[in-house]
Amino acid sequence: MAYANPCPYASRHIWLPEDVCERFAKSFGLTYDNMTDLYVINDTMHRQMIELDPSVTISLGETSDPTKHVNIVLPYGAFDVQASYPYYKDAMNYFPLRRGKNETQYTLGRAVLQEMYVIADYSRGEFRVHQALFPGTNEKQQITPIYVPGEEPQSDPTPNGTANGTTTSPPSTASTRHEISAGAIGGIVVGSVAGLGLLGFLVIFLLCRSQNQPGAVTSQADSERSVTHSSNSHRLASEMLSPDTPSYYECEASIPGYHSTQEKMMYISEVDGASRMYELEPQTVIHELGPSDRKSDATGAIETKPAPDLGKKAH
Amino acid sequence: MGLRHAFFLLSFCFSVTIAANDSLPQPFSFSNSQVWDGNDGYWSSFMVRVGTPEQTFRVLPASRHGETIIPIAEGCLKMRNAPSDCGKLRGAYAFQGKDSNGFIVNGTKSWHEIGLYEMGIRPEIGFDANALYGLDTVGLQVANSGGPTIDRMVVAGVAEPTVFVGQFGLSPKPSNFSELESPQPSFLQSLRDEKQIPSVSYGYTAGAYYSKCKIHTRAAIH
Repeated sequence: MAYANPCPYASRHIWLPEDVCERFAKSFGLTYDNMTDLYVINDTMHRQMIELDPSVTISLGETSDPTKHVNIVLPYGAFDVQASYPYYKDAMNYFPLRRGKNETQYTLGRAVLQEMYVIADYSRGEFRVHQALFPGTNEKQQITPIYVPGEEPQSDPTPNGTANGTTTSPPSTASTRHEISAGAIGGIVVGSVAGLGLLGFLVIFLLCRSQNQPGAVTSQADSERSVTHSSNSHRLASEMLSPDTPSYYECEASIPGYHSTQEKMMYISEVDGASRMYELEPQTVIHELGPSDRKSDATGAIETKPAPDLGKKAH
Repeated sequence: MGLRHAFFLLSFCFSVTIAANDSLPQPFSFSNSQVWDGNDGYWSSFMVRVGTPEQTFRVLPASRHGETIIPIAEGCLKMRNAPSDCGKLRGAYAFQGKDSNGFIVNGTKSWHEIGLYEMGIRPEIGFDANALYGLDTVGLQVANSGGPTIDRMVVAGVAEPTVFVGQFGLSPKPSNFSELESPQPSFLQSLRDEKQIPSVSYGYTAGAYYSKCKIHTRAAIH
């Protein structure tokens, strides 16, 4: 059944291919509920998960070279969510995982952004992903300014000048920052939960259709920096509310909780295949992060050459 | 270039250990609303002010566009089975002493209407909504807290619950409307053009309710 309903697309969840979802289900003891399209977890398993606190590592990189990956580690807490009315009468523990019907739906939604710090530098055409840090409340925030190349302050020799604060949200302890396109390959590793006799390491690679060619990205960024941003085009509409707007509670079926905690449409984090990734960025970023044969259409959507059935045509 | 020369002229009498980047704008640290919203208490939002006088909303950041999307009053008023605190649930703060159902177009003097348009959220999967677009003053954070305010920014008032709470667009992409000749700049680009931020970038993380300190969302706009 085509997933075409007018209710909010819950990008607070992680949308993955069904077989990948099933592997999660096996590892975490989840049960797929046909009615709500949610993966629920019973109380026993939930308790055990809280105790064991398994973690999921999402490995993001432009190529399959693991040394060039950024690993985002998510503790079980990031997945410990509840759904109530109108999904279930009483609050039910579930796992924020959804079956993507096709690759345009594959998404690393808000659940992942809880542990991810993203930096979008449109001046350089770079997109960076880091493990988010959780500083204590009395730690003073320090922000390292991002300047347009060529406009950096000349006299300040160190980037850690006290006048402007020092680094914050630094890269994860896992070394240097990687400028990556998170859309190329996602490797999802389920931490071993030996005690429950679950599968050990599950390595699931989501290979991007486009089969990115590594290399030669930086030079392209230079030449593309002057490219103007594509724009967000709107088409005229005839009415504010469509006649078959579902009632409030019907719509809630796709969002946990009483009211639509309408997920931030943080598309930058919705790494659902390279096509999606590159759709979300202006041209400068695309060319920084992807192979040279990407082109954009009028709405700024980027099509990757070898991906024939994206269906993301300009409307 | 010009800024630096001006600085050296002015600093003629002063110690040159003052960092030269006094003349460059600083990144803006976008404070969050400090509210854990939602029945499951997991989402952490930001506040934006729209219009004159200001109507305030809690919104979530979006990367796909550079517009300010807010719920419009008509939405809660016409929604079937809308809860009594519909506006509040959609992130609308009280306006002029009364609970708000959403953005009231007639309540702002600085609104320049563009028209009714498709939002173009995710048409490829049949997920979209229409909104009333216009230009109005948009400010970040609660009033008088140092958050930047820019006039004539693209604002979209959405009634449909498909976009239940508002969004603040972080993309530098301008917006095109057939009724208007030129593309309308985004908030991020406008901040840069007005030299309020040093580049066109941002950093963002969603915040984690489950973390020990219940870390809120954070964003820095450069």
